[in-house]
Amino acid sequence: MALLPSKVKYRKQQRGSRKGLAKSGNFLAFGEYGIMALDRCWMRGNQIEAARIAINRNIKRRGKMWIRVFPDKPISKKPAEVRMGKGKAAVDFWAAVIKPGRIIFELEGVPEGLARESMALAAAKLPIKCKFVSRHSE
Amino acid sequence: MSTELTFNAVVRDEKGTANSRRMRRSGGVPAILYGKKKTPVSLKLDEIEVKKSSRHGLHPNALVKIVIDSKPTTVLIKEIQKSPISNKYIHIDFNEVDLAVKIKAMIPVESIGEAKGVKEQGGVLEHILHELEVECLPTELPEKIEVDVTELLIGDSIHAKDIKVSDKIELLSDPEVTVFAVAAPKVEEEPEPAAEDEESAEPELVDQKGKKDEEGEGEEGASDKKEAKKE
Repeated sequence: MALLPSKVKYRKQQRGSRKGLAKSGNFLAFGEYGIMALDRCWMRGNQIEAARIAINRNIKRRGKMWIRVFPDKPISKKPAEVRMGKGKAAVDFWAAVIKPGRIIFELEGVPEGLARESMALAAAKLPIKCKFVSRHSE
Repeated sequence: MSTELTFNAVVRDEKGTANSRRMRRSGGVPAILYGKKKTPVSLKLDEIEVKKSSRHGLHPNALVKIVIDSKPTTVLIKEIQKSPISNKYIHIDFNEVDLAVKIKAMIPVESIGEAKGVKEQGGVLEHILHELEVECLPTELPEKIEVDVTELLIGDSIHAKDIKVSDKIELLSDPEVTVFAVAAPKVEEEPEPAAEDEESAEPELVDQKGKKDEEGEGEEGASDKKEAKKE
């Protein structure tokens, strides 16, 4: 299932800013363990989905997982060999704006070793460097 | 209560973002000391000293000793700000409290042991509430509240009223609120891989009806203009 909003107010958006650190969603709110973004990116819906599947397969659906980001930003792209102008291009993909410090996934109900392993597998599916965080290490 | 930590602090006159950043670069940690009937004092701590003490019980609600101009004061750590990326200390808030007056504080809750419902029945231990509000003397404030969850089976839960704390501590959180619960394992079916056309699926516009009408009018208007030009 592709991750994208069911309803939007406007079809296309401007690029916006990715400066600074994550001001919200930068601490563990639900689970015991999580992964934190150490860099900034536009994270695509399919990348989030791939990471979610990697975690679920590794924990064998034992614990509880939270996805803390959602791709709600439409990113448009002009096709190849098209001249500039003639209006804004069609939406190519949907992305979540990720800034350093943002918690992407949270996990609970699994041992720390398994959580670390699952988060490492998920981080491998993501386009940026991430680090494992836990409530005990804070 | 953990062993009392001691910090040597210097009163600082330079305030503001730029000065604080300069201080952090030179190995200092900005801090503030405030309290009832006391004017706030901006302080400078040594980063190495703070880092060392972090291994010996530096946490919010800890009672520590601050030495300012060789004058020791017992204070409560109100807040510790750390960078989520580098884990460096950004700022520390100290609160000068009357040790004879009860205070309210949020204390983290931790589970001990593995629940029977998880070990034998394959359930999932849900930690629903991570902090409880308590009222007690500053000297009695615990670092954390530990709850034994070993007897929990699937469907069982521990409420705030079931948690045993010291007689000197009063629990202020709602007694009926659930802190731990063991839920049955979720049987979640793996969704089928997305079809290719789903990638290009478009979300619905919230105000699509109104927009369509406007667009229609616009087109009509444009065609009218063209006709007028031809004439």
